[in-house]
Amino acid sequence: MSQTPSRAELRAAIEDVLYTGCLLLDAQQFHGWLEHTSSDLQYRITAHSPEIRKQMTWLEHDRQGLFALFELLPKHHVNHAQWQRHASLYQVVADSPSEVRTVTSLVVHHTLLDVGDVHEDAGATKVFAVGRYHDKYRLDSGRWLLADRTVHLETRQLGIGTHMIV
Amino acid sequence: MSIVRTNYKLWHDTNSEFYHDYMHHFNRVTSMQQPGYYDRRYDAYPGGHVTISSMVVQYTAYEHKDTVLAEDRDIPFPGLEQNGWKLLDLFPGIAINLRGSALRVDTMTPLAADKVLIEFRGFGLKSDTPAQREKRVRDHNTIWGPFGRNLPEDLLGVVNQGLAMRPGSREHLNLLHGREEGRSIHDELGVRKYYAEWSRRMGREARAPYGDNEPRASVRKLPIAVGFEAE
Repeated sequence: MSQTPSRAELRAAIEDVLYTGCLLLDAQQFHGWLEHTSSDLQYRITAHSPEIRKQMTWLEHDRQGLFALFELLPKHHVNHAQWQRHASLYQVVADSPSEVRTVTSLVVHHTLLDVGDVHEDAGATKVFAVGRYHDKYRLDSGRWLLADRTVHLETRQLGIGTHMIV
Repeated sequence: MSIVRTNYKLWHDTNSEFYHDYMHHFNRVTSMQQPGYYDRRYDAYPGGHVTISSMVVQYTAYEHKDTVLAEDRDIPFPGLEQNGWKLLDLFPGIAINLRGSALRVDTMTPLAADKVLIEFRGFGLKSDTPAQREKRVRDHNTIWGPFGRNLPEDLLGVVNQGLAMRPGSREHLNLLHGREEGRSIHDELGVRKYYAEWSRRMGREARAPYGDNEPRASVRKLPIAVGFEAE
């Protein structure tokens, strides 16, 4: 990459880290995903409630907190649905040569598994949530790393919910 | 709010008993392994309502290698000791759950025999400063939000319970309902009182809800409660 990347080069570099992150999260390779984040990562999941007319923060952790959450996942009771994130990078705004803000549209599908001998939902794919990533990326030693992510969900009915991050 | 594929009574059941704490890693480390858990006692009231006494929960025990994932609930709630935990279940479908700094109220509306709408509401105090309110919200959502550590497990549990209770299921009904243990924390007094009131109001026994019109197992649709005596 040249000293000052073109707009297309910058966008391609951000797409690489964004979409690689989605693939790693889909594969539940959470520690691999963390390798694409900065040491001061902040992560939160929010939604707006028209009912109470307030912004809701459903999950909020720094990088260390996320690492601990991932480590504890095997101790929790989950439905083992397979997630697939469909992300489209909408907007890239360079605040400085080493700092970028982005907006990414997101749809999360989940594919359900059998429950015992009940096969009704086995293999059925449903939309789990739609929303947007509002991200900040930082150039660190030649690598773009995710430094801040707000997942703002439009979906407020999330069924049984989840222990995963979006 | 969630629309969940289960019978509404199973949700109230989950809110009425603590045996399912075994399912929650969070509750195992912050409560079951802490002093006072097994001293909690149920009290029953006319009409199928029950309460469970408090204990001091060790929230900071939910951790991994020195990273504490749940904070001490140091903002008080009137009438509750710091980090206390009280529960009130109102027949037929309201649970009022007070944990330290946050109050949760569940109300539910049955939509079908195997579908229920559950509304979850979290409350703080009107006098809260913005910082206090933010802390209460964080405390609430750590376990009770849609990305919390407990609520998805509760909901997954009742969905799977409903599926296992369906006629023809090979999951088998390993019912633990009706455990009688002197009103202690794993006594299912709440469940027994609930179905006693249900039977009184319906004019039929919960253990034989169809009376003389018992359908053939192959066409029975509703999960039924069996294995205990109505009181």
